[in-house]
Amino acid sequence: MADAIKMRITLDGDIADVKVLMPHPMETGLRTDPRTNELVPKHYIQHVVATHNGRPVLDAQWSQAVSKNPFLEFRVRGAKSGDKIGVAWEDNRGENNSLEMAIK
Amino acid sequence: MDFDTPMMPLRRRLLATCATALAVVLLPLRAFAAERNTPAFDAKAITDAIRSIGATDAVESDQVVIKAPDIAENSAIVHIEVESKLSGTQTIWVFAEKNPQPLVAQFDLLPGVDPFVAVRIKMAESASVRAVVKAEGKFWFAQKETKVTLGGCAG
Repeated sequence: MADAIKMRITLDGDIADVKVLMPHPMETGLRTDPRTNELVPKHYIQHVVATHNGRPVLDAQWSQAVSKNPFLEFRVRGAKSGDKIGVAWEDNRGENNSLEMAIK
Repeated sequence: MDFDTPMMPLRRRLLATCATALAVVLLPLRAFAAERNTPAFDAKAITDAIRSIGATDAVESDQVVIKAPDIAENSAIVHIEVESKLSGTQTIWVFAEKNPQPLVAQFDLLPGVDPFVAVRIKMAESASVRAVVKAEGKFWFAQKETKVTLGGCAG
């Protein structure tokens, strides 16, 4: 399983600013492995869903051109302390990971 | 099981919490999966990608704000921010004009999220970074030139 997602939430009034780091190689399929001289196959996060108290608020589709260990920031409205923010991803191989965290 | 029991090791409590999170969050990923616009992501020219999202009539607007560096020191990590001031913003797309496949990301905004996203992208070469926004059924865009010193798609 991929390394754990990291999430930082800052509450400003009723807006939760959410910064997320998702450890993932994000291989473009264009990179050559220096040891084998062969192309490293495409391996990238395709789909990301963010939730607020279990309800989806953001649904993202990505290409292989999102940077390695993707960073994503978004802002949830109507948020308050104790609410839960979740992020889940799935890559082009069907691997997935998710994290849900309460707002402090 | 009582999570507040002080006897329960933190690690186990974290594991239990993670298991709950997995169950709760993975469900929407499956249930709400918007269909991927494969032709748009596969397109090799930005005009084809824009046609595939139905935005050929997009109009440049100062209500769409894109932030990208003038010069990207590391073309494999270019920080992009897009904010829409248009009411009824539904979707934000990010394109790197000269990437082998210009469409980098599509963000469908659902009720409860601000029309703002930040993401880091790879750029193959110096190019215009374009944000296209769909708001109340109409398409708008903004773009910003970003110079890169070394291609990022191989890295």
